[in-house]
Amino acid sequence: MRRLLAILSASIVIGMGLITLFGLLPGSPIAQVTALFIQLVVIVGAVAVVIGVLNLLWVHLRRVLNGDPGWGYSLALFFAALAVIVLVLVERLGLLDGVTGAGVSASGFLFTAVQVSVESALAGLLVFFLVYAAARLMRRRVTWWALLFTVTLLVVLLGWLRIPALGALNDVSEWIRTVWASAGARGLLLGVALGTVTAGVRVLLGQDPSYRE
Amino acid sequence: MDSTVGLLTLLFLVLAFVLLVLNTQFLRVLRQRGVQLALRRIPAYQQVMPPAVGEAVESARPMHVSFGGSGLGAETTVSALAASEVLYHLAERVAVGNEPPIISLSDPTALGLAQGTLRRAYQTRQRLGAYRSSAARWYPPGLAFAAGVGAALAEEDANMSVLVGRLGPELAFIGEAATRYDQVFIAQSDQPEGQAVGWVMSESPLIGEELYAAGAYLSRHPSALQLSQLLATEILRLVVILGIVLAAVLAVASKLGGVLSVTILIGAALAALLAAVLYARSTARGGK
Repeated sequence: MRRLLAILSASIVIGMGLITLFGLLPGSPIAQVTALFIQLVVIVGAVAVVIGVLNLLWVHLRRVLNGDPGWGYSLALFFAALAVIVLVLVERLGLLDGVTGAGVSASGFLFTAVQVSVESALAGLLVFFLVYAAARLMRRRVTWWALLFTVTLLVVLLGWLRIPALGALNDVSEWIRTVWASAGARGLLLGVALGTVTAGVRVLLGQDPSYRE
Repeated sequence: MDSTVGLLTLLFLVLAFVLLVLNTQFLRVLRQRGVQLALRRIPAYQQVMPPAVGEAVESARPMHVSFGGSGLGAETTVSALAASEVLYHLAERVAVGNEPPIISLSDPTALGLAQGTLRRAYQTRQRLGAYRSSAARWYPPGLAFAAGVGAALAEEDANMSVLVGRLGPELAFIGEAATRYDQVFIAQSDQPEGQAVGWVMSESPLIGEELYAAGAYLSRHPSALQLSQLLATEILRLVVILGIVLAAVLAVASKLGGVLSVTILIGAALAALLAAVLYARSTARGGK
């Protein structure tokens, strides 16, 4: 029975995959079927967000109930999430229309005041983490590649300042970013694309171990 | 999709399909004759992950695997599947211990995939009773994901962190938390920004397409198809490199014209041939 189910699920996956693939090609006669499948994926994705939020709440509620280290933060998260959900529901029901001004949403204000501010602060910290990581790289392993990386980083950072006294360094920095960094990024993306193609075809062949277990 | 791009995509897919089928048969024949394919050295898979997983089991510390922003139904589908392959092979090894792994993701469509993969790993070890669906956790995307995962790594004293899939520069926060608490940190991303951070912060990073080779490297008995996939990727890579070099040489030659262009063409062809031979030799020897 398990084998039969495995064959059935593999057939459905391969069939749907091939139909979607050929439907995406230009002038395909089955383009509408593919569009329907993609719409189904969007709906499933929306439901998955709800499941994701429930999972988050469940994980943190368990931490509170088990008294795990840092349970206080989990409690704060749990109640904050519930409060925001209730706020959005109340807002959608129009119960806050008289309280907030016209065109002002309480949840929008909360998002800007809390989420955006905190994320901006974290983004500001990111540069320090990265420079510190580069310094640590040299401490951990002094290789030619690490040395090249550090020198390039310094040149690009200094060039970014656009100090006239640095002269040619500004142009070198620009050249590194537009030619070398861009070429490297494209090479990386090409490699990822090739890996995606071969791994995707392997899944479509139905020989993946996950189909058999 | 533009018609030229569509046709090229179809051509590559057909080529990949033909290569996979032919390579699989070729590798089966080699296996029957007792010949083994030498794999290119990837320290993260061969030298870092196996001992770190062993240490996690012995020290009863959890292992952390992250799918990043990879999920099902979008362009990150294959990277989510590849991440699940990494998870399966690592979870199958830690399933003998008492500490379940921590799985983090920011695309909720990957939640079911992660839970299913973890369940399969515990089932393989016949320890389904120890499986906990809450081991897979969704965090909101972006910097909130990094902050949440970084905090979880510190609180739960993870032994190793493997982050693969779609990750941006926020990877730095997680890497910093892992390094501060002396955890093994392995990172990969299909985004150049995330990959750059992963390379700097990880002692043994995975680069780009190396994620898709997980099955062949981490499996105890890799199938002919898994090895065939590696071979097909290498061949396709050579095809792309030769195509780029040829296009560049033709562009230069068309500007110069005459005897000089013929000389450049012959020189480039010889250089490409030499590079291909050297690359094949280094791959066969297992060097990078």
